[in-house]
Amino acid sequence: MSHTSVAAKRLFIEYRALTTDALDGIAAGPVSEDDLFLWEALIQGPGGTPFEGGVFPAELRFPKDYPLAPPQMRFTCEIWHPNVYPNGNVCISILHAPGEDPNHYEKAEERWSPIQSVEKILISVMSMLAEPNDESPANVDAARMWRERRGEYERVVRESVRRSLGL
Amino acid sequence: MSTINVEDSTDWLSTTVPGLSRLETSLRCQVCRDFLTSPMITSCAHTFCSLCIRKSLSAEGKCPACREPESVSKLRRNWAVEESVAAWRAVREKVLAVARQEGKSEKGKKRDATEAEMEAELPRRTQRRKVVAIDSDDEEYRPEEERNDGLVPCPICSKRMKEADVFGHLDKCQAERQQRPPPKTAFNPPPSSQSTPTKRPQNLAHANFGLMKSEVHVRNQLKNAGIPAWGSRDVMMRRHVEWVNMFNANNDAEHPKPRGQLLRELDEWDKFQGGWAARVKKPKETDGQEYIRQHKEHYEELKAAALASMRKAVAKPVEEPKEGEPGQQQQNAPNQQQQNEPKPEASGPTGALPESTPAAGPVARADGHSPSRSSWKAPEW
Repeated sequence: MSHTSVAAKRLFIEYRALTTDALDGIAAGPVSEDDLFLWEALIQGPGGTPFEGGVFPAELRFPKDYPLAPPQMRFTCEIWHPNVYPNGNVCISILHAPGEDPNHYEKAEERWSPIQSVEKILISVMSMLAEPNDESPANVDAARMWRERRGEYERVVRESVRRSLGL
Repeated sequence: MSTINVEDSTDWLSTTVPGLSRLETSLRCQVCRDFLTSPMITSCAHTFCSLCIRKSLSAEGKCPACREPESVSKLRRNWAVEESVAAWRAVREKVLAVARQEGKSEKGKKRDATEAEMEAELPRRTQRRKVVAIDSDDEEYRPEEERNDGLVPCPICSKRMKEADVFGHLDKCQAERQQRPPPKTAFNPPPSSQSTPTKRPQNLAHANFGLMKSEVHVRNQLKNAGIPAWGSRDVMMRRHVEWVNMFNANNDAEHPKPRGQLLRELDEWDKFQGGWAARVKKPKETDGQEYIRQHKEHYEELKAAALASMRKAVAKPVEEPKEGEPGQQQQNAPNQQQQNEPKPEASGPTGALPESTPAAGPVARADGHSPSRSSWKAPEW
C-alpha cells in the first residue's frame, strides 16, 4: 500500500477498531465504504443530563492529511448547546489544530494531535454534552441561557430531544 | 476501499489471549495505526514510523504524543522495536489462529467435560505438547547423529572436523568471526544498514522557502531535487516537504526502495492531493477576497503597465476599460483575471515586451490556482 493512502488506511483501522471494540453510547463509521473521508456518528445523550434519551447524529469530514489535521464535526440535527454553532458545527479544543485557536483560550495539550482519534473525539463530545465549556461560546444565546437560566436551558434541551424522537 | 484488508490490535480481543491486543498496540505507530515501519525514537522517548514522525514534525515541530518541541535531527532509529515488530509480524497469523482455535476447543470441552476433567486434562495437554517439542528437537539433531562419520562440528562455525583439530581450529575461527559483523539481533542491528551507512545517500534538508522571494527560486529548488516542478508556489513547497520526508524516511528503512519507486509514490501523493493541492490555511469563504488582497499590488502594477502600453499603441479606446476595472477588481478575482488577459495581448503587438512579461507572472499563477479551485468540489467526494 502506498503511503498516499495513509489517511484512508488509518481511517479504516479506526473504523474496524470502533466496530470490534465498540464504545457505549457511540456508533460511528463511513457513510459509504467508497469514501472513508466522510463519516456519520451517532451519539447518545449522556445519562443524568437533559440530553438523556436523545440520539444525536453528526457527520465527520476528514482532511486528506488526516491524522496530521483534525476532522470537522457537525451535528446534523437540532442541538441547543453552548459549544455547538447554530449550523451544527462542534467547537471543542480536540477538533482544533494546535496552530489555530479561534477563542484564544485553549491549552495546547487539549488540542488535536495526530495521536488523537475518532474515538477520543466522540468521547470528548459526549462529555461536552454533559459539561458545556462556558469559555467557548459557539452559541452565545445557549451559553447565556446555560449560565443564567439553567432551568430554562434544560427545558429547551429536553424539548428538542423529545422533538427529535418524534414525541 | 474494499481492497483494504487490515488487521488491527482489536483482533485479539475475541481470542483466548486478549492481552495480546495491548502488546500489538505497542508495536503499532500511534500516528498511522499500522505496524511501526523504520521506527524512530524521539528525544522524549516516543517511537513512531520514520515517515509519520517526519511528517508530523513538518506540520508542527512537536512530538505528537507529548508535544515536546522536537526536531528531525534528534530522531534515532529504534532497533529493538524494529526487531520486535518484524518478529511479531512473522508469527502473528499463526498465533492468531492458535489463540482462536484454543478458544473454540475450550468452549467445546466445557460443554461435555466437568471441571475436574478439565483440570486433569490440562496438565496432560501441556505434557503432550512438551513431548512434541522434544520430538521436534530430536528431529533436528538426528541428521547429524546419522552422519556418524567420526567428525565433530566446530561449536562456532559448525564446520565438521576431527575432534583433535577442533582446538586449533577454534582460535582461527574465533578470529575470523570477530572480523565479521555480529549476527543480526535487536541490539546488534543488521550489518547491512549499520556498517555501511556510506552506501546510502545523505539525508535531504528541508528548504527554507520563507527566504525565497521569487517563485523561480522555489521552482529551481524542486528541479535541483529532481522532482516535478509544476504548480503554484504553495503546491511546490508542499511537494518538496513531502519529498524530503519520503526520501529521508526511505533512508531510515532497512531495505530502502529505489528512487524510481519513491518518485512514483510522490506522483501518487500529487494525484491524491488533487483539488486540495492549493489548499490554503484560510477558510474557504474568504478565499476570493483573500486572493484579491494578496495580489492587489500585482494587479495594480499589471493594470498600469497594460494601460500604459495601450496608451502608447492606440490613443482613444483606452478610457473605457480604465473606468470599468477598479470596481470589478474589488468584486472578484477570476473576472479580473479575464479582464487582464486580453490587455497584455493588446499590448503585445505594440512590441512592448517589458509590460507584457510581468503579466505572464500573475496569469500563470492564477492558472496554477484556478484548476484546483474549479476542481475543488470533485475530489472532495
